[in-house]
Amino acid sequence: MDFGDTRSSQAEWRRVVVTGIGVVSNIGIGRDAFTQALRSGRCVVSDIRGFDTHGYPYAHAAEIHDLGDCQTDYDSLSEHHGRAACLAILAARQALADAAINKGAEAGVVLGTTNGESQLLDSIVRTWMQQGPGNVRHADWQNAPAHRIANAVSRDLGLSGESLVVATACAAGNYAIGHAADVIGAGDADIMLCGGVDAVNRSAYSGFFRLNAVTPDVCRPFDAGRQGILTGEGAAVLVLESLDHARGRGAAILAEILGYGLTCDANHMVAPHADSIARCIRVAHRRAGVKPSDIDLISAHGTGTRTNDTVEVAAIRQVFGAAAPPTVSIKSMIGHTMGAASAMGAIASIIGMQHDFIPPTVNFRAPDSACDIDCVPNHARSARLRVVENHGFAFGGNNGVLILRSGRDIGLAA
Amino acid sequence: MPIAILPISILDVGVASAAGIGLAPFAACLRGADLPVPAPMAARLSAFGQIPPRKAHWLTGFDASAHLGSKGVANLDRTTQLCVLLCRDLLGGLPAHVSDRREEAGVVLGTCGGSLKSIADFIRSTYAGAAPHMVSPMQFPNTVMNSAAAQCAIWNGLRGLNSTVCAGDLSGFAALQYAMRMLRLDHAPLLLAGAVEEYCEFAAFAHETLRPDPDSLQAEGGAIFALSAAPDGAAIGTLLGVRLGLLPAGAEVAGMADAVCRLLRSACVRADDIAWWSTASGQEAEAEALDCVFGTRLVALPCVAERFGHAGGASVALQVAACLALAPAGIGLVTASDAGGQFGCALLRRHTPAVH
Repeated sequence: MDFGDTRSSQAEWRRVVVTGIGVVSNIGIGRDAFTQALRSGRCVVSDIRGFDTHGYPYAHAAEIHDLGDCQTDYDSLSEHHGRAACLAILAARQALADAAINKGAEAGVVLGTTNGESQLLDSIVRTWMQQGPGNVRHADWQNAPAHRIANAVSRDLGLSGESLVVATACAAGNYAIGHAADVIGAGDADIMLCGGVDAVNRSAYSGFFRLNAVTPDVCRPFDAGRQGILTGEGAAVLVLESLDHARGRGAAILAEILGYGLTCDANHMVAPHADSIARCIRVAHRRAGVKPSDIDLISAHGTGTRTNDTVEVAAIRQVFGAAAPPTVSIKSMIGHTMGAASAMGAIASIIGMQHDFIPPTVNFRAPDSACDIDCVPNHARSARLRVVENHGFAFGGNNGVLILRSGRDIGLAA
Repeated sequence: MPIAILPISILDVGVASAAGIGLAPFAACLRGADLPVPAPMAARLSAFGQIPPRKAHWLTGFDASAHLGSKGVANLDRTTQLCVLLCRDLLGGLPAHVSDRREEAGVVLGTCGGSLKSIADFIRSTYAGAAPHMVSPMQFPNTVMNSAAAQCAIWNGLRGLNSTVCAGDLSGFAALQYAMRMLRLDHAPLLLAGAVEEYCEFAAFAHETLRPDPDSLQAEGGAIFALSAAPDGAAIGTLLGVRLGLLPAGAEVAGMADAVCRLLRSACVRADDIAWWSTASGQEAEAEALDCVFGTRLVALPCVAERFGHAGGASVALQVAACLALAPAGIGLVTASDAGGQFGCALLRRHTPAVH
C-alpha cells in the first residue's frame, strides 16, 4: 500500500512526521498516564472549581484538579500567564522532551483555541463590574489576547520560529496541526510544535448550558440516552518534523501526517451539516492519498449532543457506506476540551496506533438507530491501526479532518 | 528544496475606516483630506456604560442595515457586519469566473481576540442576569473568535477553508501569511483575507491601559483582500512573501534585520529592488533595522496609525491597503512590530492601473 500518491507528484513536498507528544488532561498528565487512562477507559467528572457556580442548576466538568508533579511548575507559571498559556506550556515542555529536542531550537508554534485566555477575560469583566475598569490589572489586559498563548510557549522554550494561534473554535486543534504540517511540508521550517488548549470558563459553560447542551451526568457519545457535552479543559501538543530531519537525528517516529482537509458549512453558526462534513472527509482523503477502505479508525468529534452525533454518523455513512470503521469519541472520557479537542484526538489516535488498541467510547448504555456505528463501547479493543482519521468540527461550520498514519509503517529506508 | 514561494495576486481590496467604506476615501485622508473629527461613542455604549475620555476614529455613520438589509443584521456584532460587507463587495466586484468558485473559495481573518464587545457583554450577562446561565442563546456564537469569518462564509456562500488566526496587533500579517501558504499549497483557488477590529468600551479601556500616551487614539476598521495564486492581469498588486515571528529578547533590531533578509532571500528579491517602505506601527527600531539591511533610508509611505489611530489587530491590513493606494512603482516592504516582541514583514508590489 502506497499512501501519499498525490504528494509524490509534488516533488518538493516534504513528508511530515510526529516525533513527540505532550498532554495535560483531567484523566492523565503526560504520555504514559494518558495512555493508561485511554486503555482503561478512565472518566473523571467533578464539581467545577474554576469559577463561581452559584446559581446553576448543576455545575460539573472534566476539569483538571490534579496536576501531580507539574503543580509546582504550574504555580510558578501562573504568576505570569493565564491558565491557557500555563497548560499549553506544560504540554509543550513534555512534547519537546518526548521528542528529545533541546530548548532554543529553531522551531515554530501553532496552537488552536476556542476561548483563548477565557479566565482572564472573565476576571477583567468581573473586576470592571465590581471595582471599575481602572482597577483591571495591566498584566491582565496584556495577557488576554489569544496570541499570547503561542508567544508564551515560544518564549518559555526559547523557540525562534513562527508563533501563531488559530482560533477556529472547537476544530482549532486540527487546523493548527494541519497548518504546522503545511509549514514543514512546504519547506518553511523543519520543526513545529502544534496542538490546542482551552480552560474551563464561565462564559462557555453558561452558553452551552443555555443551549441545553450540557449533560446532567456524564458524556455518552452515540448512546440513545445522550444528553450533551461535558465541558473540559487541557492542552495537547505534538512535535512535527520533516521526515528527513527526524531521520537525520535518529528520532523515534510516532506517526506521519498524511494530510488534512478543511471545509466550511456556510450554513448555520451552531448546527452542523452532514454534506459539508462528508465533503471535508473527502478532501482530507484526497489530500492524504487514501481511500475510505484504508481508514482503520475514526476518532470522532463525538460531542455527545443529540445533533452532533447523528449528523457526524450520517456524514461518515455518506463517505464510507455500510463499511464504516470503528468510530470512537474520547470526549466520553476527557469531556469537550474545545480548542484542544482535536489535538487530544490526534494524540489518542497516535497512542492507539503505537500500542495496538482502540480507545473506547465509555459511558455507553444503548445504541441509537439514528447514529448506529461501532463506537467500541466501554472497553478498549486490541487492534492493529495503520491509518486513523481524526475529526474536529466547530461553531461557524469550521470543519477539519486530519489523516494520520502509524509511525511503524513508514519503514526505515530513506 | 522548498516549494517555491508563488507570488500571490491581490485582485482587489475592501476597506472600512473612519473615512467610510472603500479604499478611495481612506486613501484621500492619507493624502491629506480632512478626516471626520474623532467622536465620542456614547450612543453605542453597552451595559458597561463607561468609556475612557480619549476619543477615537471610528465609523460614526456606519449603518449595517443600509448596506446589508435588515434581515439578521441586528444579531451580528460590528466586527462581523463590517467583514460581511467587505467580503460581499469584494465578491461583487470580481469577474464571474473567479467569484463563481464559491464552493472552494474561503476566508482567512486575523483578529486580536474576536468581537471584544460580544465577549465582554456575554460574560457580563452571566453576572448581571437572574442566573448565570440565563444568557442570550443568539449572542453566544458571537463570543467565539471565528464568528466573523464564519458569518462571511454564511452570507456569501463561501464553502472552502475558513480560518481565523491571531497575532495581536500583527494579526493582519498572520492572515496574509496563512492565506498565502494555503493558496501556495492549493487548499483553495481564492481567499478573502484580512482583518477588521471594532471600537467598543472593552477595547477602548484595553487601549487606554496598554497605550498610555494620551495622543494615541484608537481606530476602528480594517481591510480584506481578494487573493489568488493565479496570475491575473487585472490584479491591483502582488504579495511576494510574508514573515512573522518573535524577536530575540535584547537583540530586537538585529532580529528585525535578520527577518527582513530571510524574507528577501525566500522571495528571491534583492535588497536593491526595494523601492519603498511602510510601517504599520511606526517604531524607530524598524527604521534602524532597515538601515542595517539597505544601507540607506528607504522612501517611507504614510503610517496609517499616525493619521487614523491604532486599529489593533487590523492595523497591518489597513497599512497594506494604504500601500496599494499610495505606493510608487516597484517592490516595497511593509513592517510592523509590537510591545510583546513580535515582528512581521511583507513584500508587496503595487500594480499601477493600465492606461487605456
